[in-house]
Amino acid sequence: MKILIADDDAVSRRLLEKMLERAGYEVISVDNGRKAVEHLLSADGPRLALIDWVMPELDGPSVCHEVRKLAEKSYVYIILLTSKESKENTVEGLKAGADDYVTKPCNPEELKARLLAGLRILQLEDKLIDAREEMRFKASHDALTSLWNRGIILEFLDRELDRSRRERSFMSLLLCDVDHFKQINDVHGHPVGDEVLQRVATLLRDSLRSYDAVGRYGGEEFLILLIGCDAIRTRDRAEQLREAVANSVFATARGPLSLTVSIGALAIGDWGSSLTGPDLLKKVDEALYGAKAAGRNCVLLARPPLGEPLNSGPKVEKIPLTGR
Amino acid sequence: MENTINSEELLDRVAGDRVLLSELLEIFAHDWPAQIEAARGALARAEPEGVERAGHSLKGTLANLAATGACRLAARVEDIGRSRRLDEAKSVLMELEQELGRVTDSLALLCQGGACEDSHRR
Repeated sequence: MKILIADDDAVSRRLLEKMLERAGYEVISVDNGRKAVEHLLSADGPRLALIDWVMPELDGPSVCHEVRKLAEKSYVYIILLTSKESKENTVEGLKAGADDYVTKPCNPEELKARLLAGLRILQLEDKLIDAREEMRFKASHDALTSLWNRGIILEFLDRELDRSRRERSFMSLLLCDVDHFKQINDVHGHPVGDEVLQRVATLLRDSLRSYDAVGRYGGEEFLILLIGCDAIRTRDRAEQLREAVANSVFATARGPLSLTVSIGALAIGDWGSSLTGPDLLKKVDEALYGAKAAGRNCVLLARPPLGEPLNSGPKVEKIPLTGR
Repeated sequence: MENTINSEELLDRVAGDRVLLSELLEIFAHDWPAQIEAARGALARAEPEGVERAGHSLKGTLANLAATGACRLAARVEDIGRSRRLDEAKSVLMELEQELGRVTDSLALLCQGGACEDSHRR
């Protein structure tokens, strides 16, 4: 555990350094308050600090003020070192943001015990942050596949749709469905069906760029947002994903399994600007339905029929499978 | 008569580490003349804040070194600066300077293991 010592008295600093090194701390020491603030606010800075009250540039209470005002990362537990023993001073130090104080010269055992009390607070904070992060993850991710859940991927869709229209940039949607999934469940059992969904999810996620997004839309359906992707690229990217699944062998508890997916695709630039997210989802869903009807293991791009109103429904064209 | 240094307290504080004690002596012997000089300079310029600062700084160092008598004198220098009654500063500073010389000698003796017999350490 890193600890910062800020004290302008070189004798006191060296004593404290040695005391804390013996107690197993990784010690950083500085001789003024300004340097202390810099260390405490740095990205990987110490979270425990022993700060002398009287120091050049910034005194101890001012260091507390600055750190409490500016720290955005984890909590810093600050113990003020003071030779001042009056109640007023104690109150001033605690009001400035110190957590505790010790009177100089420090008794080693007392100092160690007070630092342990600080460590308990920091450990409690770590536990709470871990719990919050776990809750956040659970609230936004699908429990089985760890992809974004339906709510979040739909939020992304709305946000990216707004952005692409505002910035006049490309974007496309893919709705990807595992072929004959019911059969996999019936023949191999639901646990294997779950494994298949996990493997496909991993493959899809690993095949995308960092700024694309994939979420579990329904049972065996995955919704993919391709950012900056025009109609021609959409076709190619969807085909690559389909092929990647078809060429993979998925390890399951019942042995290796091969499977295919059907993909409905839609480049939003083809559809004007009047359709909402749910409208576009309906179109891409119809394209997926068309892909299934066309024999599965294929990609269909939804396009508005020429000469017809933009929202009258997609005309589906089947992309020929290459090398199959 | 009061010892210049409470060697039992000091050895306790450094956990019996005489190498550390030598380091502290080196730092102290280098620092204190500058602090006395700073106090005298502040006195000559009639700046009570400077006298108070030097007194405070020496007080902290001497408390850590368990130099009880010198620590008390440094606290007086600090008080004189704070209360802005500089007339007695000169004599107290002189007394402190003499005591600091004795503290340095006692520390040197303690570093060599000599003062243990004088201390209350069993």
